[in-house]
Amino acid sequence: MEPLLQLQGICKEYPGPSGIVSVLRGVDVALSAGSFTALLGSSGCGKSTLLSIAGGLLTPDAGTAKVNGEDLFAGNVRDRARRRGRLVGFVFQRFHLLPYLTVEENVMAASLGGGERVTAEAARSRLDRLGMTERLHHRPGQLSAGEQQRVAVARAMAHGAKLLLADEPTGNLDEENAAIILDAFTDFAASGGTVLMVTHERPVAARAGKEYRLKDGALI
Amino acid sequence: MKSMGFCQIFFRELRHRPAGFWIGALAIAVSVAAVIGARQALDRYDEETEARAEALDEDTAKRMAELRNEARLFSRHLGFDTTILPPGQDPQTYLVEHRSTEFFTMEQAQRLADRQPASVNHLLPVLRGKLTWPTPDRESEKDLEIVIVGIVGQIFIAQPQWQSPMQEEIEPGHAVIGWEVASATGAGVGDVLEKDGRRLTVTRVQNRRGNTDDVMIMTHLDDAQALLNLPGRLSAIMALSCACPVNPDNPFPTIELELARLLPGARILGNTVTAEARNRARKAVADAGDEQLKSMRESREESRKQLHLLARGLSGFALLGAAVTVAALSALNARERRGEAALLQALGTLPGPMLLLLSGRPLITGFVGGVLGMIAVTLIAHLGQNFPPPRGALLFTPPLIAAALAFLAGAIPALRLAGRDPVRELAGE
Repeated sequence: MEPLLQLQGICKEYPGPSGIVSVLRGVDVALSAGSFTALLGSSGCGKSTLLSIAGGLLTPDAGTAKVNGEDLFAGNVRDRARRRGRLVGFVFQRFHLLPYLTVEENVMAASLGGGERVTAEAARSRLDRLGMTERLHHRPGQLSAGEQQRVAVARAMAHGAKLLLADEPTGNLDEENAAIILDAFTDFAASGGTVLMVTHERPVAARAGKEYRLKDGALI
Repeated sequence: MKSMGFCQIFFRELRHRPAGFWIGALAIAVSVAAVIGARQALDRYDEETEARAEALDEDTAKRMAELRNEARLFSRHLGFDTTILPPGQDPQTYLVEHRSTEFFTMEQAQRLADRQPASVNHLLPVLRGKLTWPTPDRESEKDLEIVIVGIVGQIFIAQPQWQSPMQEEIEPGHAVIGWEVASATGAGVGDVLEKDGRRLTVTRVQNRRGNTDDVMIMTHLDDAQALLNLPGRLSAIMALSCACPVNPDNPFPTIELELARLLPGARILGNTVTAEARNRARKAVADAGDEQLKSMRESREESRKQLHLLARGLSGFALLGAAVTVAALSALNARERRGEAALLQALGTLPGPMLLLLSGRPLITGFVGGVLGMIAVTLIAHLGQNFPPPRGALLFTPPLIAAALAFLAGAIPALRLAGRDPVRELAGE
């Protein structure tokens, strides 16, 4: 069976103060549908870079990235944007909710770039599962950090993404909220989605079914 | 059920950060009001100035026409410049001997006037001849040789009420005498000169002229005809040349051509010096008038140009100020929306809609500002009545131009924002 996320020979270099820095050196990743994988590594080792490439946000210097068999970087900017919007959902450490939309509307905004249309009903259902029913019409500024991250998770999953990429999703959260988020990821994987989570916290990584460690630009 | 659309996102963002929007709109409104207000005020000023200028031009032209007429009338004092002699009359005899061998009749003179010649005006029939005038009190006991001129008043070519005669009329039994005649006869105003039983009362003594006029007695035609024993005869018709467009300084060839047709055989004696002097006097006045009008118009045009230049400069400055304000506000807005732009990219928003989302704000700011500016100008126009309210295309174009200007001013920050690498922003670096 073809993996849902397949990265092959991914290389990425950045110009540094003392010359070119090779962050990723021919990384290969293959994640099947229904998997929940944690990506560990020290700060600056390239975890977020790999995640951005896996989500089609950052173009690799070499290698291919496929989601559900579709090359993320094929075609022009519009093609790539459409593909990303349809297949991938992102969760960030800093939530990145739109401050002028309500909780419900933030989730509905998930379909702006493509994917399934997110109606208010669908958004409410998704938020209900994350315990946010009472906060539907609140603005992000009126929520706690944990609540904001729950909204971000609901948004990432709402439009029918196959792949959920989370970059330090519990970095700013207390244990209780972290657990809710990780439960949601587990549920997402259980329903056939694929989760790749970057974290530097061991207990958080332990919730994933599989762990990768990134060191010196390669996965171990 | 509905899903979230770009329009909702756009207007929610606008409502979320209203300060920048209203400050920008106000800046645009003020600049649009300044530009349109200045234009309308200038248009009104131009209209009023034009109306005043036309009245002034009309008044000046009227005064100049009066002046030209004054000059024309004054130039008549230079006297007749054309003498029309009867066919066959030898000019030498007429000029040197003051004697005529050929004569016109009054009917011929009247017929000439009836034919309305264009080259001459102010026809004056005269009889001129030499006489020996008795001077009983003179020491030399020698009689005085004088030239007698009889006139009967001017024959008008145009309607008499339109023309004032060049030559004063002399009543029968009266005379105007030259300086030498007065000296020789000792006659003054009110005295009576008598010859062959005909009595002439002196009505005026002419000042010294140094020519034949000093030995001239001017009297009524009947008296002259009686004294010269030439009843019903005229020795010449005096005339004034018209301003000839072909050659104003020498109109006589034109007169000769016309009179050859109207009065065949007549001979023309012309005084070029008088004609030239008259023409120069008229031309000088006309030129002065034209120069005056031209100078006034140029001065007005120069003032108008300077005023428009100033208004354009101030309008440009106002628009530039508004554009800079909108650009600065857009840059601040873009800075605030970095995370939003990065998120939209992550969500897979297409470049076009995203650019519209980010640059739509200055566009709407410009449009709303433009509309507010137009409303302000219209209200000011209605309340103050200093200038007409904008109408037609002027009502609709400023909001559109303001929107375009604001869009351009805000486009650079929006483009830069859309072009930013989303990865660093989303990673929170």
